[in-house]
Amino acid sequence: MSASQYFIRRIFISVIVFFGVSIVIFCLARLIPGDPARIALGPFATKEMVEQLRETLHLNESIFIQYKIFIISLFQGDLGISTYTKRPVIVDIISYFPATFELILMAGTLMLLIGIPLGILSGKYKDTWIDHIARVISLLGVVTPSFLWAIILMLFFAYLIPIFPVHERMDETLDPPKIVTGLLLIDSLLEGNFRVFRDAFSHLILPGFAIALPAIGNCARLTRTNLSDVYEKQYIEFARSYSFSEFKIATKYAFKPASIPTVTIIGLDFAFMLGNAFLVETVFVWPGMAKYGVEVILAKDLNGIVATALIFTIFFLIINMFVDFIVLFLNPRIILQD
Amino acid sequence: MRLISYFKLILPTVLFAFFSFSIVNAKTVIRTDEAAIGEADPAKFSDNIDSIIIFNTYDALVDELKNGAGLAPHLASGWEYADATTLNVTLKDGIKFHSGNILDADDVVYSFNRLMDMGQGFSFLFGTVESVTALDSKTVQIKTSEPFAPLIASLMRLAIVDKDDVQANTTVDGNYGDNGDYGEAYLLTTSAGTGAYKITQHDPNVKTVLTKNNDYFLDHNAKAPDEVIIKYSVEAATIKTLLMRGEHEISSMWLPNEVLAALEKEDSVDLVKINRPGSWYNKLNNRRAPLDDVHCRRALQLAYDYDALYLSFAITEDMVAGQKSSGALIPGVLGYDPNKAPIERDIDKAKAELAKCKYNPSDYTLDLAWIAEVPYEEPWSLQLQANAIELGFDATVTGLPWAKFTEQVANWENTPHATVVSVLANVPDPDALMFAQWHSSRGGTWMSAEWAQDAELDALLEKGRTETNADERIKIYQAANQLMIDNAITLFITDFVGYQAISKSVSNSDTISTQQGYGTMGRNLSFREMAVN
Repeated sequence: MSASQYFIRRIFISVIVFFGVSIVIFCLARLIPGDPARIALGPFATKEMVEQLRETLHLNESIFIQYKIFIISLFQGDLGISTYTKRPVIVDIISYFPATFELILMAGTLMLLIGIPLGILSGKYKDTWIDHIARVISLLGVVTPSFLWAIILMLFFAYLIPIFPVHERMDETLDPPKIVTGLLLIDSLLEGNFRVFRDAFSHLILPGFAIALPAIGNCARLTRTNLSDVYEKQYIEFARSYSFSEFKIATKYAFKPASIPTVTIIGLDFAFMLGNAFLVETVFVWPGMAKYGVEVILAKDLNGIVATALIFTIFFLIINMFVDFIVLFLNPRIILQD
Repeated sequence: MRLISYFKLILPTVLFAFFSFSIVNAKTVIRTDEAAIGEADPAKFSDNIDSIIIFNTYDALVDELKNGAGLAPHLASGWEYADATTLNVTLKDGIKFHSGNILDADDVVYSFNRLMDMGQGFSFLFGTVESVTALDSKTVQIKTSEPFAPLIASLMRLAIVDKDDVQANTTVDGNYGDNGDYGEAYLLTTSAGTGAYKITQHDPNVKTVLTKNNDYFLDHNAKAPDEVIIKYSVEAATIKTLLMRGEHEISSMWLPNEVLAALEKEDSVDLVKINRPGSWYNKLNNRRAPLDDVHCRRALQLAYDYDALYLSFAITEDMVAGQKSSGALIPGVLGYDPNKAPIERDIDKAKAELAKCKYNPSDYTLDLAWIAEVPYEEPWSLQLQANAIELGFDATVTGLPWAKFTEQVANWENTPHATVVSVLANVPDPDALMFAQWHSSRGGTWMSAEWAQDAELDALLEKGRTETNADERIKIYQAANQLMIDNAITLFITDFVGYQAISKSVSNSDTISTQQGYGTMGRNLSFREMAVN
């Protein structure tokens, strides 16, 4: 099987998974107790008002008809109106997704920049004091959930030593840059507005670390374990006998084969961050998609729930495909095995 | 060494962010927070946060006067009843909308029709109104199907929109026939009222920014904020941090007691006591055995430990976020008597009442519920469970999700024996509070989980609706209140008292008197009357 055939097959499978998930989510959303129309209109609405909204939302139709309407609208780019925010769901997604995506990118970057070097150090100096310290840090990261990190970081760096901003994406007195990508760092750079860039970056640090710390621990531990195994291989000893530098051995000859399982897990960790961001977004008043996702579930906003779940599904599928491609790059034999 | 060089690349980036942010604050701002979501459409608003937004950006014909002084004309210059079912309202001259358009009677008619056609928000308050017509540009005539005394108070909830502005921004393709979308999309993010502030930014799930309307027809406080930022669903720990950092001015009323207790010790924050027109109830299902027997209900009423309930609201020894209840009439509502003694526990009388009940308590397991989304309600259910067991009943306690509760309550057989629910008065009239909860025609909603069917109470509530003399109405509602207590239709846990944490930067007599001066839900955050120090 050639690489292109492999990619096409992966894309085809992803499309099937997407439609499968859409059916499951569509049905599950309707199993949540409570009448969406009643919840949307609030406690004071009369029965007539509720019935009128049920008609508008097609809730009196069979679930098959409802799904058909949903799919037709989806292909027209219409995800319906959110009964929670009263806006088109697509507007909500455009408003909230970039905020979460930027946060996840920050957390993912921190995970890679800190987790991998920590793992390499730990694996390279196995069973030394460096390894012990690195393992304690990793373990602390893994066992402490993100929301607790959020509170701890806020306590230390916003309350006791108030050096970092603690809410939203940028200072409310600054004018936001013109929206191009929705990512403040990029949009502010495109506009040449370095003040907003600095401010937005400083706002990303605490929530970024809160989400990244468990993943950093995971990444470091995996890198260490895989690297330790590779260091015991004969070709590493061979490289040493040729007097290659330790840095070159670690980063070029040992790390590449050791990184294949790590990349797979990092990819999943990265995708999971999207869902795990909810409590961190709540603590740091981050106007993101994860928080929105939970709130639409609580409000039984059917369109919001389905749209959020599908966005998360697409994100997972893209990350999975991306990881597959990286793994393929690291180990081309996979195509033959497949 | 090369690894060290690698870290040298990261370190400057982190330090760069570390020391480089700054705060510039040229205009005066009040930042507050509330539970999401904020509704900005005057035909859809119904909640506390919605009311805060609408009271600041729109005006109504009628407004509440400060410190319980009753109701007064607001956009109206006055009104008179032509007959028992016809009210003529005259408008003030020269009041400008945010667009610059001048308010006239057509705007009032349009606002009413829009509210009723859309059928959301506070439209339920105007069910008896047959028509609203413009007699001339300054006079509006409101006709009701029957004499309806709460009409004037209800008009507080009819926010007047700028007809020309809304129509100019109406999308033809909508759910309302010739009216298209009735400006629904437009009013989702902007304001078209006459209010003291304009909406300049609105995301219902994130924040709303209000900017001072310098053309407002009444005065702003000289130190009123130029801008107001309302943030949604912010964690209590974050609010505490922001208040301490001077980045937040007024908290919501929903901070947990332990956070309030911690803030009470801080020098930079004051706690302000707010009397809110609402109560916590343990709603007894009056139709399900054994509570269909008045003696069983009275037994529970007399056994309920009100002292323990009151203390469960304590923030500190001196600060309690509740007030012992003396029945359905609450502070801020017509007919409330501050001298009426609160309901107290008397276990001997409770046992005597139980002896008169036709049911044997040991034959019944009472299902007691609280709303799962409001976990601090649970102890009040547990307290009733303990007191019911004391009387010989068995009792289970369940946290019911709100959605599930609203479904169950539609049928009296499925409605729990008792459910903890809070109810706020939408307008300072007892009818809005009592008719919707306890008139026998209203069973089946979350407000009427009692399924009350008391003919004497029905007669009083109906009389209160049609009686136009205020003194007579007070007597009627006080009689209804006593009847509710005598027949133990519901259990009153406490009347609401809220505490808001406010930063010293806005803590002054103007701000605090505004926060404490109004009873109607959402009315007390009138930013134009507040002052930034």
